[in-house]
Amino acid sequence: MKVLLSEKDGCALTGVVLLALLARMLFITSVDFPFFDEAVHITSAYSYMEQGFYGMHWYHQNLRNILFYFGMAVLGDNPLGWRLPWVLVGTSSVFILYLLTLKIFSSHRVAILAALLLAVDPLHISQSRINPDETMTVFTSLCSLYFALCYREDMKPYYLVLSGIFLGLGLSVKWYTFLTVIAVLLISLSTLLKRGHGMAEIFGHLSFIFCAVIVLPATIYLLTYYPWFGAGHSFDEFLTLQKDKYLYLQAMEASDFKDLASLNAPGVLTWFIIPALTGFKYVHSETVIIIPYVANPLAWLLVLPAIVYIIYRLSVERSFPLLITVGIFLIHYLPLLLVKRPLFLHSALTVLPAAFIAVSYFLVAILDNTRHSRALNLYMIANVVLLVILFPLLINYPIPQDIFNAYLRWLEPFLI
Amino acid sequence: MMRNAVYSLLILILFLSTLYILSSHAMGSRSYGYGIRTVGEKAPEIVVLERQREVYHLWKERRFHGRVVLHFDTEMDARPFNKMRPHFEYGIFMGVVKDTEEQLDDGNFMYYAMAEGIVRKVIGIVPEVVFEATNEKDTRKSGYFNYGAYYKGSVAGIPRVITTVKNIPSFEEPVLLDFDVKYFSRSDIDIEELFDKLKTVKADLVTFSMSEDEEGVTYDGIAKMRKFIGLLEGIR
Repeated sequence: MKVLLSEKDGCALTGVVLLALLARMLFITSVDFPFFDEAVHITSAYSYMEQGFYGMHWYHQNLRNILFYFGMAVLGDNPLGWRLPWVLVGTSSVFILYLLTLKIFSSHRVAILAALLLAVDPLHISQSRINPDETMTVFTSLCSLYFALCYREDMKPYYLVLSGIFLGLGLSVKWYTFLTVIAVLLISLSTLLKRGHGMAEIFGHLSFIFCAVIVLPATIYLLTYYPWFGAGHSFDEFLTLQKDKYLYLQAMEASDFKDLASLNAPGVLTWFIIPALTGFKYVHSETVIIIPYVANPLAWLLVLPAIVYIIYRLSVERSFPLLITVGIFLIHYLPLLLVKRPLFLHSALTVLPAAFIAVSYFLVAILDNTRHSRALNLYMIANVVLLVILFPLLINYPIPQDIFNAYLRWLEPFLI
Repeated sequence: MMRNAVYSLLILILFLSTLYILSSHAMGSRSYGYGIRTVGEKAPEIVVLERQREVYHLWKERRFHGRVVLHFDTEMDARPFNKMRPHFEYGIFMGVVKDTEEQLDDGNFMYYAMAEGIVRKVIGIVPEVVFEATNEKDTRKSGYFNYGAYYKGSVAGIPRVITTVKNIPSFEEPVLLDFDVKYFSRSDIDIEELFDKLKTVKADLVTFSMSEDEEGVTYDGIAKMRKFIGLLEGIR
């Protein structure tokens, strides 16, 4: 079923995407040197692509190095080349979230609100500006979920193939895209229940799902190791490397991050109970750059009530949209509670899209009737106003040390 | 259903092609020297150098690529990665890699060799006394995990095994044999026993670093190493 976009909804969507782009793009070149993890990303990109050698952060996956390298090849080894690709990926995530929400609920109102919440989310904005890994993971997960739902609706195989491609790309950035693999598998297997099949057809169907959702992502994951294999490594060594990456990550303890402890505050369990307000203070040549780790309380505090509401509604009515929303959220959130090693707040980004879909549905369901529709509009405006207030902190603008000391000392308790 | 079958077949073909391409790419990028010998039958080329960093230059000169190194040393300290890592600041790494002379030293030559693709795997052989004194918790932080007779892990994505001469693994390809005199200074192994352990190893180059003025180097160690060199040269 195709849902056409009205002119008003088209304008609203354009506005939200432009807002997302502006929030992520403005002052992107104000820091004209690599800062935070950028220096590692840049050097890793060169050494990985040209020598098949990881260097630092060897336990991360390869796609970031590949995209960084080609991004710099196209845009230059300069601030724009380092950051613009991730800004565009982060902005595109907003658009894809709109499409995904629309696919689930067939409601422009819910979709626009979800997209707006991601567009103005301070954590997603700041990470789109400096953290390619989480930004890419969100984008690839959204794309793969969207195409999986397209497949469920139309049963056209190329949709699931596209979903598999994005799963492969996501796994090549962060292993926890595996959670999205589970979600896509469940969505695609649900097509077997949706339509009756004979045994032969079921087998053919299952084989195709296995190829598209498991084999294809594995192939793409392997392909990102092409430069590494170019250093002469064998498949034995490839398997050893995967094991070593896993063991190294599992062996990480909180004491390894004592300087960055606040960045894994408040802790997975309380992400949506105590919205984070912290950040990293990066000092370079008498300037201070703030890298904020801030949650939007207007949205984050509504996540758990929204999930509870959706679960309640599911107990009363059978609804695939509600099931898929709460399912995607729980598949991405619950396993993180079991991770032993410290997780930085930016890991919450993978949960945010489903969280914002839930919040949007919740608010539209509760507020969007004749009496309270204005409240929903006011809520949207409040989120934009909050963005405007927080924006100076989000842009990583290099602040002269004396100005920081004179006017911004009050931020010190929140910063590492 | 036919479309599903076609897509499935294409995906499987892509997967198998990927395995083939990666395998060929890996094999094709390894570069060996001439004169590959099995140590026990006829010793490969032997080069004695003053300092360990010269080994890197020699390997680079010979255009080795994607090699496994069997490296005899005493380096099993808590942070071997830091010891090997060039002393660089963020942002000047490219300068370091391209301008290797400046910051290369005896402690980090292996890292340079890894960074430039000369070395793809390091098997580190340390004296028993060093291996047994290793603090497992410290090595875990460096990415090495205890497997009883071995410590294994990856350093900057390069697999590394640290063990003693008793547990030298077998190799399916020729290796680069590299000895530092400190190994002979700390180890109480008999050189005949050492030779016996290396008899089946194939190599195209054996390097010895004298490092006479380094801490931990003893006259006995130097003498032992010279004797071992003599033993190898005797069967060339």
